[in-house]
Amino acid sequence: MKKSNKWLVGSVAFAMAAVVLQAPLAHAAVPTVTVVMPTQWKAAFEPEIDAFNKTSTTVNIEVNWGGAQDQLIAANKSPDIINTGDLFVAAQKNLLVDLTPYIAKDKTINVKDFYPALLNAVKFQGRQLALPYRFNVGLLYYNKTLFDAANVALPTTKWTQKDLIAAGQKLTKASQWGIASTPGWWGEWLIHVRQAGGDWLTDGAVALDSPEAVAGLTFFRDKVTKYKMSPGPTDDSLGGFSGGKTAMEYGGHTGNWPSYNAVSSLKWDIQVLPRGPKTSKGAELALEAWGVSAKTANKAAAYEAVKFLTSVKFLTTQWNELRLPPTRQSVANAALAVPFAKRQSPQNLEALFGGIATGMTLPRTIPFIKVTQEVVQPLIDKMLEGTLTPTQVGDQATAAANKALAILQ
Amino acid sequence: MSVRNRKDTRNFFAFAGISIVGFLGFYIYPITRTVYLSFTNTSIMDPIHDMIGWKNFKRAIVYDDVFHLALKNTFRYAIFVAALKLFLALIAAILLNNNLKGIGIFRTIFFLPFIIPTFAVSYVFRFFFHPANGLVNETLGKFGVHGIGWYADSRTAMLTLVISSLWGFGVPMLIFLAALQQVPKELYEVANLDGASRWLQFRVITFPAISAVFLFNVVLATVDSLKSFDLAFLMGRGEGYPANSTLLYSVYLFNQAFRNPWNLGYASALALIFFAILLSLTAINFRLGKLYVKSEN
Repeated sequence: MKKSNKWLVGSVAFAMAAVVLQAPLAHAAVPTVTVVMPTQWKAAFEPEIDAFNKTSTTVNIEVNWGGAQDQLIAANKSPDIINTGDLFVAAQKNLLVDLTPYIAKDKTINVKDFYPALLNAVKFQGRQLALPYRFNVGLLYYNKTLFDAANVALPTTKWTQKDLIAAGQKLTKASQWGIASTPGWWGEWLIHVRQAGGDWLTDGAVALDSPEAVAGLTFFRDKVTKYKMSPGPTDDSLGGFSGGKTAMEYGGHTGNWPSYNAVSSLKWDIQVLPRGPKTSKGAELALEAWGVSAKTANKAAAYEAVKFLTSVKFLTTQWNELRLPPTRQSVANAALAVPFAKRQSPQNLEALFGGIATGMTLPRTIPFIKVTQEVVQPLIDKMLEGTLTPTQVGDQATAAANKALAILQ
Repeated sequence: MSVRNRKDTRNFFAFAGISIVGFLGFYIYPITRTVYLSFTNTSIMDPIHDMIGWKNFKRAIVYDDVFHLALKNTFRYAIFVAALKLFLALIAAILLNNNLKGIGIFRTIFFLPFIIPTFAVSYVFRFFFHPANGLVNETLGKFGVHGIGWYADSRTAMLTLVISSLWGFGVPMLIFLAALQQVPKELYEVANLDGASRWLQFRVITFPAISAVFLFNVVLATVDSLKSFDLAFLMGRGEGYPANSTLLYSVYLFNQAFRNPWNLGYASALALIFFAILLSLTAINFRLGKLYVKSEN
């Protein structure tokens, strides 16, 4: 080989090696941030995240599929991005980075696109601690097949509690329930309390003993004992709403949609909750959000990752693939633009997104879950057993919950 | 140090070193850390914490009504489970302590439940005791007896939990069986010749001979039932459902540490209080044991 050829071959080889080596080196300079996600999201999200990682010059997202976030945090190995929610931000206020300055500096993020109620729900003491990515709002779930079979008109936006009772009783028969019940959880009775004009917390104190709250508790009990349209704790729930033998579910949870859609014989849809005796407001509005761990080595990169995970593109994938209700109005509008007949179950997305306006978040400034589940819920369980009246529950729950709050605060 | 001593020291660390490291790492460190945490307001989800002195202990002992209920539930549960488990284990061991053909099969059958995972046991018992369509209530119904609410009713949920917990008496039974096999057969032959009844033989021969093992099983069963967690957690949906009726100490402690608001400091104080209770009860058991344990001499 001539000397000049050797130089040419050498130069080409050097250039190729430089190109090949430069790509991973350049990519290695991009900081990697970690996040924990459930395994069942992997098929939907992995291609999207891989594609982002290939093009991103600011951050590389590494997902721990099926990991246990709480255990990692406890072991001082917190992921850089934390899955949080409206009920968790208070306890995690020092674990989460305030995203307000990042958002203020960022000209590419359109925060106004998020539903304000959802964005505010993860704002704590004036600090935006996370960006929301999915939400749940209390809705009326109904089984179309059972309604049609009983020749009962489907629920409408005009329904009141009286319509609910009438339909529930008509739809209750041997081996069929009118309305499902979820014992051991606040999701149902708190809506009744709020729709009757009461609330869990009034002026910083628990007020479940107000006449309005007691009226709500009474209706919750009456669905089982008086109207006999919901199963009590010792009845056979017939597999709940997904069992196909329960006509309605009050409140419910958007997280159950995949399990409902997995039952091919279940033809179901949603409607806004019937108006209560005092108001139509009161459906529980809850959400999950991505925040940045205060322990991360690279906060800016983690913020970029959170921005991507709550972007229009990613939330669109999240909605299309997993039916996790998106928190951005533009994504919601795109979902609503699909003709009604072409939508998957649930079709009535107007009820879902409209529910954000009438939904109410839960108290965030206090340990709501702890006090409700440990102190209030046991008394409500006893009410359903018939050992306590709604008035007794209201009185005892108020005293016990206020005592617990005083100790905890 | 002589060459011999140096060699001994080297051998000691060569053979016992791993155990010592394990003991320090997995026993001493967690215990020390628990003591430290119990005097703080540490939360898993909050990197900032303060020393708060005895506040966690005061909160538990003086103010926390749910903790008091959990403690009461745990004592009720432990008394019944420990006593019934020991009784069943002793009866089974006596029945299995003979040379019948195929006795090995029965011994295996009695021990088998011990190796079945608790979550499977809880599902089986939920199926048995389902108030509406469970096997137990359906069987009772066939005899015209109206069934009860079992685990779904706060008045009977603890009873259901106790019955379900008796499933695993295989270990104390094996220990009793091993002890029974050490009792000299000649003693029974002499007693038979003297016309002693079965009960008298048990009272004057069997029980004194196995009394030390009985004390061992009493201590084991007491500690075991007081720190029961898995079955109560699974059957009570992790929250002592219904109406806190199955809320045991360990479940409550777990919930304080690993559920919102993840209060590790308070949970550590509860763990230390629990340790003190276990220690006291074990001491009482040993004191009581002196009344019935017969030495070999």
